[in-house]
Amino acid sequence: MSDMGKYIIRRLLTGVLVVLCVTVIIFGIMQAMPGNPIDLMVDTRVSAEKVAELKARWGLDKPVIVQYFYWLGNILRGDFGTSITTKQEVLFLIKQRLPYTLMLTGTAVVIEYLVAVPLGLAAAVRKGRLMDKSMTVIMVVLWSMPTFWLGVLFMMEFAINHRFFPISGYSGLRSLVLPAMTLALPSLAQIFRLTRSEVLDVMEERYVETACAKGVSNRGVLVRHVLRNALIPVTVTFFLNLPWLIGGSVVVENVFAWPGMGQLLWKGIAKQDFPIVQGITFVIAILTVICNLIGDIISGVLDPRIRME
Amino acid sequence: MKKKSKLSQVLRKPLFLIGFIMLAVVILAALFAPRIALRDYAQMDLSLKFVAPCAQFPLGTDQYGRCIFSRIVYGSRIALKVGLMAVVIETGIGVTLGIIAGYYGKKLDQAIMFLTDMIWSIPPIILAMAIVLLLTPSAENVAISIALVTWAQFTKIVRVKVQAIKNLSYIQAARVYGESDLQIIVRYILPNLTSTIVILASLALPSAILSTTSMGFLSLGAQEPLPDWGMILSGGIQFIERAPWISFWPGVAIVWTVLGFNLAAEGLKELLDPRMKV
Repeated sequence: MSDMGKYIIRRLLTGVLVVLCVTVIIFGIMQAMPGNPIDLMVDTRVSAEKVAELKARWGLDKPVIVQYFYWLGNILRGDFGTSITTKQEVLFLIKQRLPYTLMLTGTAVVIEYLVAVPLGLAAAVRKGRLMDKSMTVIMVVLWSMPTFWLGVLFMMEFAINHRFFPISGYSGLRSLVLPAMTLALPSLAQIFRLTRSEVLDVMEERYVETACAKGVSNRGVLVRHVLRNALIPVTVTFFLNLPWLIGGSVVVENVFAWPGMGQLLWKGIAKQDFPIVQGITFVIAILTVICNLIGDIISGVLDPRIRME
Repeated sequence: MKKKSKLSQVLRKPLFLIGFIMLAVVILAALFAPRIALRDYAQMDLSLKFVAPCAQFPLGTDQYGRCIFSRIVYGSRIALKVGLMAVVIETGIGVTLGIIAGYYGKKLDQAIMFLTDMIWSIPPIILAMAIVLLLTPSAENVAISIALVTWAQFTKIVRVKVQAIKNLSYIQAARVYGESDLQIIVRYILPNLTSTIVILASLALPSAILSTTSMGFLSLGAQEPLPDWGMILSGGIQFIERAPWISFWPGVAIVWTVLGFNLAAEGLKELLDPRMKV
């Protein structure tokens, strides 16, 4: 089998193992919670036999290890149980909300890279000049901003002072603008820094010197030699970044009352609705592992040195 | 002599100087909060709710007529305390595991690296939320949960550093002389790690404070009537059209503090190890 095939399979196996361990963590946290889900779910007037029957149906009368596999089997089939507060299927709630979260984070990550990569390249080429210095300062300020405050500022300026965009909720694509900007701006600083430092590193490589000495034009060196190599780590972070944005969207969704998973998760936590919390955590962990996997595979494809490790 | 001149060099760069001054303001506010604040942070007066910023209430009042300025001044104590606590715990866990992984290698190394991969496969804020849910919301539990989701970055960097120095000849000589692993780690390896640890911890502090305020924003941190910056801000959003100052000023305090720490940390890094990549 080729190196690449072996590399992908190794990564894939690690991914599966990580997901399994994550389920153990989630299950452990849920086990450690005070009270058991059945007592929380049923009315106090329900008879003891009925409760026992429910416990048997959910496997709660068995030892913890058995309960874990029971639970694992259920969630692998997509059965996360029903919400304690709304009595709706957790899977149904997640399916309803996942597209909104993906839309928000997807837009944010695209904005991030479209802005940060060209700026990082421009700053690196003009290292030490005014443009580079002022960009660096702006990025430190952005990096220090809590997303929720940035969201509030946008809201005040673009939804209340000037009614360009809806203040909150989802009513068409115009509602997407403010939350996506809010989510993208603070994390943009990281991509900017990475692009800038990678480009600077690559510019010191021997092969860049050689290309210059050969008489390749400045532009040609920049595009074909510098950018191509500097963008490898930047591309990999594209996928590694998505989970962070999904995490960040919990906060942003709450500022703008965005109907995504983050809001559902927060409400679940506030109301101690365990089935919702474990369902969403599991889905997000799976998404994270998939993103990491794609990131690993892409870096293996782009840079042969990595898959030889 | 040489160190001193380096320090003055760093202080001469305007950005770092600004950072240190911003920090000094926050630390003074936290130390002398009772003297600086105009009222008690929890003092309510329902006849004075939603007062716009004026001479009596420099930053206005909230829906219970509490003075926003005084709440923000007291809030600096929570932000600094939780941030520091989180960083101390995460440095402790991260450095210990990093040294073990780097020094002993093999199975132990693999196990620890797998643990870091696992921690990284749940977005930190979500794992932190789950942990706080388990421990019940409070300022201390926020610090613990932030530490539990962030130690891995210390482990990764410390591990690589230890791998690089553990085979240096003077450390091998110490081993030949029969010094125990613990002695070698404490006497020869830790001193080599000091600047790395200081830099990492100083960079971790501003992001810990930022996470603290995010948890406060989700009302998982210090509970009312304690003046958590994030919580004051989120409480104000529902009144944003009527009283925008409630949400505006806590945000200024957060950016001020985090920016101050970030600039100061960059300065510290320049001073100790300008080439280090984080």
